[in-house]
Amino acid sequence: MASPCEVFVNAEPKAHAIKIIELAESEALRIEKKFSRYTTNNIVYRINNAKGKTLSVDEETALLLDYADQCYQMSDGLFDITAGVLRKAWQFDGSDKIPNPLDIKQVFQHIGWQKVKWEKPYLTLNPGMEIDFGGIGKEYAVDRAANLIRQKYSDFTLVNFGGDMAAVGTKNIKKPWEIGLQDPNNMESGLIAKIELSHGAVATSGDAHRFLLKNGRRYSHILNPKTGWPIENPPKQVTVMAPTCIEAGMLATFAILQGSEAESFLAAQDVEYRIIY
Amino acid sequence: MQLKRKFSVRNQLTIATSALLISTFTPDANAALGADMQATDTIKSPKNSKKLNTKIVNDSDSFAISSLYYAEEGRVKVNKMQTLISNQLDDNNLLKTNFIYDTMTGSSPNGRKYIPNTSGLVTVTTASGNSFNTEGSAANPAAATWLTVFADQRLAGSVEWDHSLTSILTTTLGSSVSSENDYTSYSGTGKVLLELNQKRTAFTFGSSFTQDTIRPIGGIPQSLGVLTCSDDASARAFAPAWLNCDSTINSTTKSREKSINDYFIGVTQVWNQHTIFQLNYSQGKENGYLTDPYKQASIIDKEFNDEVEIAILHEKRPDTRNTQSVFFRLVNAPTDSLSINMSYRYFWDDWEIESNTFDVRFRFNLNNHFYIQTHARYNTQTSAFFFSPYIDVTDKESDNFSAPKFFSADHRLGDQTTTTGGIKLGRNLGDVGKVGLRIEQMRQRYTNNQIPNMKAWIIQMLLSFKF
Repeated sequence: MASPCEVFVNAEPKAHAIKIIELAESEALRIEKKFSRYTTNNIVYRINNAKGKTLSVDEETALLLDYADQCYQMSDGLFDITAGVLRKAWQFDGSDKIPNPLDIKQVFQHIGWQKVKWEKPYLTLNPGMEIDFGGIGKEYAVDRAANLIRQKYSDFTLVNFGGDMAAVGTKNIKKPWEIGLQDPNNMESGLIAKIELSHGAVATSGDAHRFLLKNGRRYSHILNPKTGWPIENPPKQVTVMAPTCIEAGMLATFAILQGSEAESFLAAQDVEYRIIY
Repeated sequence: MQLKRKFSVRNQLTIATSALLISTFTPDANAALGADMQATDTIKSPKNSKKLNTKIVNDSDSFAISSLYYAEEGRVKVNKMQTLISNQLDDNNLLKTNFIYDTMTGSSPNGRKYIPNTSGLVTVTTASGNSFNTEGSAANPAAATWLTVFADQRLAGSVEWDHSLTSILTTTLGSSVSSENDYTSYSGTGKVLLELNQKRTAFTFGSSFTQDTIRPIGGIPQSLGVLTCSDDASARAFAPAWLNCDSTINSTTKSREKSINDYFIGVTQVWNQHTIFQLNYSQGKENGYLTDPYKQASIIDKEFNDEVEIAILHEKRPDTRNTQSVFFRLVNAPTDSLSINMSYRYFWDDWEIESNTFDVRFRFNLNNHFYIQTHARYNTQTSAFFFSPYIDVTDKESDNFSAPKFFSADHRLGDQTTTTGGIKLGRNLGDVGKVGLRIEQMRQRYTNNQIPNMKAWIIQMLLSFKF
């Protein structure tokens, strides 16, 4: 995932703990290999280079596409796995080449999940369109790893892939995992809040320094796929707690996409959250 | 503030998530690559199997070639070939490599007094060549001309590396080299781009340093030194006392250097879905040999209503120059098919040059692939404090008239107005790239100089491929 991935296990002996860690690691690597946009020999590369041809996808990819489809519907089109192409138009480089609204419009033609033909397991993208699981992949990997650990072990474990995390296990819980939140406005100032996690998951979304491009998130900035332009007045950072990491991540992402209405959106979701403007 | 009613998506999301996480499948990374794929897929063709082995992120990889032809009527002609290769190494690193090859030929005003109808008789200097010839001008300066013939070529290369440190901070490091037969230039650039407010606001800070070495054919001339004096004794009688026609100064210096430090700060703001604007300020400090070793200056006396060219000197400029400029640009797209790009630049320096530039482009998107862009540019410039078309010694008695401290008759430092008009046709080739053709005409008028106005054509072809 090209971001710090950690697994904390409260177990003895060491060899036993290492088995749990290795299980999480192998699942993370498997998902990265299969869904990363940055390799040329995986399903995402083939979908994005199909040039209008129809592909039949495997079961796991189909599940993720179904999920992305439902997220698109739920967010009223704001969460869109085809939106990444927009970054081609949004490249300020400090030179005299600033984006031309007509170029944004041109790129904008190549986004929109509603233009994708998805009839499980057959997927057809118009030429020029691309998909990216970057907005789901890391949280999905956390949940998958957590599930695998849960199925085989009962040791108290925290899976943390680049700031998105889930706690599993019931054995030897002395106190919950403590998760610190940093102030995105001032990275030097240390922690602004602590979250205690003994079960369930936490995910954070935002434009803070820690959410690098390389953290598996594809957009450095939150662009509105319905307009092609940046979201207005979004919060800097949203952290959500939910039973699964992917739910927490989606709610955090949906909230940011609501811009200035992020807080009222989250208030209606019956989850714990922290929001920083 | 009225809030929109927010509906809970929580239950819907929980159901969707359960379906995703509870389902079973073969968790094999390669499952998606083999038997699952339909026969319509072309991944196994030899062409693509090569691609499979190269781990390249190919979103922004592009290759552009540009060929530019610039021709001034009766003067300079330039052919410029340029290639720009852009490699997106990964999500955080972009490498841009640029190569330029220019050939320049023709004749340009050398600063000497303009005398009409002598354009056929020229002083021959070839910056690129092995010979430096001033014959003819020494014998009869008045018959020699205000133009210098030259031919040169330039080879330049630059590398620029953009690195995203965080989602909002990008650094750029660049370096470039440019080489002509008599000129070498090295430069380095550092730039920081800070994007805030969800990319609606972008700040740029940067600095660049350039070190140039000039090695003129025949060496560095003595500044304000005599190039040649009239051999007419009656003309020489008008020469000011400081002019020593008998001394020939042999150049001992082969090369001189100059350095330029630039600092700039800029902000780009997304105003709304139709409008983006940009404001830049930059400051430059030049030090060293800023004189043009090929420029000359005539000493003229008009004693008998007849202009007499007494002597020809080498020019001399100050060895420091501090420049500043402010730049404002507005890009607005009022409709789906029209965008207007307007800019204004104000430039000033301690040589007392002031320049105002207005630039307007209208781009009409005829359809998704084809566009036409019109371009109009208007520039006015005032002259440097030491500029004059010649040194006038009329009625200046020998003893109370001293040599100028600085002097240049380079038309580029004089009052001028430049207007440019042109059109560009562009075609978007979708996944392949784009092509463009630009044709422009430029006219330059000199208000305090007698040299004829200049007209030039610019033709540029541009091809850009994605790979």
